[in-house]
Amino acid sequence: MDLIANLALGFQSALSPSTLLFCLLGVTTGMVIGALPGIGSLAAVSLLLPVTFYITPTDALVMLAGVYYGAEYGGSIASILLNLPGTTSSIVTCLDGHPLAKQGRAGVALFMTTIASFFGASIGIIVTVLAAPALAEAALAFGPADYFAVMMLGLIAAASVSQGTPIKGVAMVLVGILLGSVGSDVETGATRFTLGFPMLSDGLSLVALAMGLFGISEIIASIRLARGSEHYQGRITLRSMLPARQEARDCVAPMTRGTVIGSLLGALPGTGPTLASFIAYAVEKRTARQPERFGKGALEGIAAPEAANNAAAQTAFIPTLTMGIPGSATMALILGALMIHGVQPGPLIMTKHPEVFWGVIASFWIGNLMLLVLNIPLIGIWVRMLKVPYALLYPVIVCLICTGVYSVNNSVFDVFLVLVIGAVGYGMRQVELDPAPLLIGFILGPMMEENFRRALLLSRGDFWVFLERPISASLLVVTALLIGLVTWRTLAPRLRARSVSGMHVE
Amino acid sequence: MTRIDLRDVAAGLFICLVGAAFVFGARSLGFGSARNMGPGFFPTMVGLVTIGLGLVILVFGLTRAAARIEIEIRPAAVILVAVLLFAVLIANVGFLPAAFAAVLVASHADERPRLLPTLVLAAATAVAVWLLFAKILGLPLPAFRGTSPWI
Repeated sequence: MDLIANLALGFQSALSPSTLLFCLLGVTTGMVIGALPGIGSLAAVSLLLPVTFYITPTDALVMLAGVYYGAEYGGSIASILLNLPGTTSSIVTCLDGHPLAKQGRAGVALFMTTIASFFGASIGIIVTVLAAPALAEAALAFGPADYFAVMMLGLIAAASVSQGTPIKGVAMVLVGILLGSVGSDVETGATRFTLGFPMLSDGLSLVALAMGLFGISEIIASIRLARGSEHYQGRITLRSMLPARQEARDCVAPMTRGTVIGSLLGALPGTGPTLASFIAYAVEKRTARQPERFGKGALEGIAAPEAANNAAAQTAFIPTLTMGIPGSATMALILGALMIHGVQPGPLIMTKHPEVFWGVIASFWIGNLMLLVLNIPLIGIWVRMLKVPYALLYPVIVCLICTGVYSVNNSVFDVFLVLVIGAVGYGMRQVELDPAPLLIGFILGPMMEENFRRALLLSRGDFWVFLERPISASLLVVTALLIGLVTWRTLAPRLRARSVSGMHVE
Repeated sequence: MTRIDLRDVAAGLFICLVGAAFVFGARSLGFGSARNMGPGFFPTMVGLVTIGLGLVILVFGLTRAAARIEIEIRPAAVILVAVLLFAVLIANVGFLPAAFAAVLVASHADERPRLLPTLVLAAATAVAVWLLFAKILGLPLPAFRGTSPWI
């Protein structure tokens, strides 16, 4: 069997001592940053990005992936204990997790989120193993026009699920694409938009952009937020973590439903864990026999979304690795890291770099086992860590960000860039512009332009090429439907409000 | 409450400006044709759509009332000054002073902290991060340097 041979190759490379070490480093960093309110997996991945330039591509990807799904586990701890979501995908976990903690049942809540996370992630990994090779095979038939259409769909999907209104999301994607065009033009070699800075001829530094948008500006925004939070006083013992048998049994079906929702949404380009957790929660609430229990400490209300976001975190690797299309902003960063290493994500990754691809998949199982240990026997460490005042933590994080950005190219220019981007990013937050779609646009932009130009070169300038190819045409139809749906949902309430107020005047 | 949604107005203006800057910057680049695009083609098209969306957001903002924007100046200013100091000092004096100053300044973002613990935190962070990056990860990070900027 091919699959078994591939998995054996994967485990061989994932079980090497250095890879194991980087996996542990990754999931632990992810846990720490995920558990700290205010900064999420994006900041964590960008913090570790400079380190990856000095290690092998497999180790780099294993570590960054570990940060990513580790943060999904860590995020729920702050949600439950402090009622402050550690990551965006654990926002819904606050709804029922924190009431449980107030009832003195934080242990049970933490135990269930860990089990649900592990369950969701495990199924997500299996889905990834089975679906990725099939998708990679299908993607081999893709021409430049089709790639352009997939990216278009991904960008619009990412924009429409971003925080704030969808139109702002689309605008942010476009700003990202524009920023991505800074530097040398791939086809003609002309330098574009460098304003005379030779440091910009290779383009804006990805690390500086990510650290500015998600490091500096998130810290500024969370300094005052973190002060108002109350600390969890109780102690958490292993015994207090075990749920009653009936409770555990009642969570099996919600976990399964959450996993299915998460696996599907994670694999769609542009969506990802946050949306998956919201939908899973909504579905549970709607199908529950006593929906009024939700929001007051229903265990199902944390089991389903946690299973969903962890399943989605795993299946998000399917489009990222096999087509080079990131499912979320964090995935976009990981994609950027891969390209810096010269590993071009896409359908050929399995044949050209099988040890990277299968090694990473195998490391998911190992990393999730590590997280199980970090979260159940070692839970006390995290509870204690959340008692460290934020006032001592954020100056250290600022220092780490500066050091990280500087050390990528030993460039003072990049530190100034972080300064400017951080200031603009904070301003963007204040006017409710979500920086996540910007980052996705920044990474996908150059690829989109390349495929757009190639498609039109092949068709001798005929724009119909995008509608003549069946793959590209059907993807663009879906994109158009999505745009229509989103426009209608944005405009309908406004129009209704206007006609109501108009009648009132009469 | 304000009569117009200042958030959306500011956001729309910002987006229009970015789009316009790129369209303007692309004028000097070759536009080419759809068949053989120059380096300016794609950024011009994207820039024009960006300006259009910015205008829509701006107009929506002008027709809607919204809550006031509350901007916290102190955390933003203090953190940005900390990064600025780091950039200036690492170019001229070296990593240890740069990191020390950044942590010391950043600690003041919320309210004035007690001096002694903050000095200890700044010193400990500078040394620990230097050991991690320069000694363990082996990145070239000069602890102190002469007077040669822009390296």
